[in-house]
Amino acid sequence: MRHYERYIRYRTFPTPWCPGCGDGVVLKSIAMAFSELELDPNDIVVVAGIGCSGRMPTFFNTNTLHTTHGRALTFATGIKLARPDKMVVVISGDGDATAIGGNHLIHAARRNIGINLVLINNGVYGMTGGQVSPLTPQKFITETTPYGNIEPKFDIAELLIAAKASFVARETVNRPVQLKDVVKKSFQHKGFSVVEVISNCHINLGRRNRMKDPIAMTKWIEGRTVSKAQYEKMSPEERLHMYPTGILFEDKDRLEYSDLYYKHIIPAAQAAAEAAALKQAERTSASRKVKS
Amino acid sequence: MGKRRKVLQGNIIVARAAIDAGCNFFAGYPITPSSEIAQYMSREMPKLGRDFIQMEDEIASLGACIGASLAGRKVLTATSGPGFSLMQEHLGMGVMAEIPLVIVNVMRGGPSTGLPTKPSQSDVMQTRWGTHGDHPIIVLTPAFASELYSETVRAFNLSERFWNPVILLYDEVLAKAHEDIELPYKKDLEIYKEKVHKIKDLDIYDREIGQNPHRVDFFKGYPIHIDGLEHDKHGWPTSEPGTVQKQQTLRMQKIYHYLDDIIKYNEYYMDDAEILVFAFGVSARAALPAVEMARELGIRAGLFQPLTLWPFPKQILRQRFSRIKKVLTVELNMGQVRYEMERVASDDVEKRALLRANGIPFTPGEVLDQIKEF
Amino acid sequence: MSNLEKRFEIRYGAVGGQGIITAGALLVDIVVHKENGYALESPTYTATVRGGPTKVDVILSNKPILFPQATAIDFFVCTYQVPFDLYKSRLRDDAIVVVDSHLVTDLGDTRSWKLHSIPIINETKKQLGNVILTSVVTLSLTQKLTGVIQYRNMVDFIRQWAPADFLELNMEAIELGRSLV
Repeated sequence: MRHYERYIRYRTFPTPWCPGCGDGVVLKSIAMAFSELELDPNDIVVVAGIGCSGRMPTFFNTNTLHTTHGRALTFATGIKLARPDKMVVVISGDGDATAIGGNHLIHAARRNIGINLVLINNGVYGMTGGQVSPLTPQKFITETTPYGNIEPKFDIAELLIAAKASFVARETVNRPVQLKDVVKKSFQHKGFSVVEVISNCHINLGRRNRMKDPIAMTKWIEGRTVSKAQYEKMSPEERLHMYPTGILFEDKDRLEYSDLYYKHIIPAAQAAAEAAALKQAERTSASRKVKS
Repeated sequence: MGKRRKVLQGNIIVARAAIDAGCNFFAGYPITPSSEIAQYMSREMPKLGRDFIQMEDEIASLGACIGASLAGRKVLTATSGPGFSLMQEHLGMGVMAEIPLVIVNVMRGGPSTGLPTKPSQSDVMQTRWGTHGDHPIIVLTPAFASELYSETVRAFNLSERFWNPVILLYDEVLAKAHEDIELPYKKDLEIYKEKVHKIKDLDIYDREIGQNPHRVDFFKGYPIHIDGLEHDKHGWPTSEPGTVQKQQTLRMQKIYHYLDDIIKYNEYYMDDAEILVFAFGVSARAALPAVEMARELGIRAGLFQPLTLWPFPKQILRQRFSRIKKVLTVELNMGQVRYEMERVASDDVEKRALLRANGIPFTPGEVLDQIKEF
Repeated sequence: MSNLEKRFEIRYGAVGGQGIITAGALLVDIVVHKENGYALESPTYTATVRGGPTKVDVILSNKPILFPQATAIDFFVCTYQVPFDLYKSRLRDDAIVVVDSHLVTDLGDTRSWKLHSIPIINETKKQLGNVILTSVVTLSLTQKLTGVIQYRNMVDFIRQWAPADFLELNMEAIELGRSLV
């Protein structure tokens, strides 16, 4: 048994994912990141919402929680605030995180609560059969855009940087080693971190867009992947369909939410309580003096 | 005059009782007429080293509560009708995964934004059936200041004992009234403590009918899996019909086996009553003086005031209806408990209901008029 | 409770509402903590509390209070016309009614009320310089006209309650309330 397999719950296999799905690559990258960081499985909780990505926690041999559609970050927020000493990882898909869970996503980022989000972006609702998502590229055919998608997609990395996430990175399933490395770096980050993983759904997206096998889709992903440095040299038109990869934003100094709560709010409240008690005591002794 | 005699707003009584019961995590979202609970918690919880967080909406609030509960905290959230509607999905998650948590729902007029903020008792059925799927639920309905305190403590005890969400349900009048209350000493409170289970990680939901799951929280040394999907005895997702049916039954029966421990009610002037007045919350506070006035007029009326509204006190009412053949249900809605009463009382019991949903509570005089007419 | 034999109902009506909510709260506190009686304050609390008509019902009794709102009001103080029109319906025929003489001018049918029409707001502003003190003025005139609490207990309680810097002003407010009726 290789070391990273300590973090895999083989007992719950097989996975529900289609052959060739990128989710397996993500699963292994996360397990390897845990392994390289030598984390105790008991000190980790992996939380997810609904969808293909939502099933992923079941396969980690850590504490795991499979929640409701789009809301994984809210459960994770409760866990992190209750146990700031533990590692809280959230796995989410693009529909889960950016459509139904969009509000929770920007607020978790804004709070900078110490949750490490791995956002698997395959550009489609896979589990429900291939409907358009907020990250589906324009013109793509899906089950609910039979004449082509007319909606622009979010640039989720830019959105999260604007929402004040303190670590934002992007990688693709085409590059598992780089993916593992960047996931590992995000796990070492203290505030809210997100790694957007561009993944393939050849079954429910590729098939309807002339990319019916995993190879065609990974090639399509490859054609759209550029380094951050290259991306910055591009014109706005060129950028439109490209995904810059690597660490896109990092702020190591910003304080994490539960840290702030425990180091600022609790002492401030306790000081206020002490001051009030002191004032009360003074008042009581003053009134005693008046009486005597 | 006891040192602990205080004048407190209803919502604050509930918040203090929650803190006394050991609540150490609150997540909420502002909504009138429940906001004082969140405000009080934001001020007092950090003084005790406990957690308070204002989330981005009510869905998030209950999500955070479930997460914290799984991390070993005693959790509370507080809301009103529209927020409670948003919480329904996570209420179901709480039932399915068998999570102890307490939700305060301060009722205001609805549907939709409705009447912010006039009193109402129109969430009777939302608390019972709001979340989808078959599920057990415990709903407590205090009416007096002392009950706001005691039922809050009981809500935590029941949620811990039965690993199920418990809803504390009251109305805007009780929430906003400032009343005198003799606060109990913390040492006199009975706080239910769950035994710590030393189990292997894979048999959380393995149990006999009538038993709770062997829950261990996260980070306790046995990595566990908790799922909102239907699951087998290990907690793994399943749709195998036999297992699914068994789990449904187990979740129901862990509560319905213990109705005597859950159902609580007050009876006033019931010994020789010929008319049973059924009322809870602010309506009970109109019905009780109405019953007293009726007695002065020689009318033998009695009040049945449920402190546990769900599970509905069916058995005990059926016993009463073996003798009493008239029932008057008083509720601030268009008729919700009334339907339950029609189910519970046999055909030979004459059933009437005093109903109103315009934001104005019934007065004792109005209830008395109905009793007199009966 | 010394001078309260049965349920006694008070209603305060105003616009805005913070003043009467405070007056009601003070009254409840004095009854509970100084007179060993039972008391309850039930405010309307809506968005209208900021500038709209507001009422506060205060119920006093020598036994625990069952119904938490006023149904047969013994004593009504109202400082504005709109809340007066809205909230006078549950007054007893023989209620004691205090209205602001400048701001409540259309009284309609006054039945057999014992009516006091006095310049509460103007005099508070003029003599005390701060309209916030209408709360204590209202409390004081309630004490004098109803006798539901003892003068001594009211003064004792306000001494404990008022911030040291504002103690004198609060004592003046008590005297103003008494002098107006």
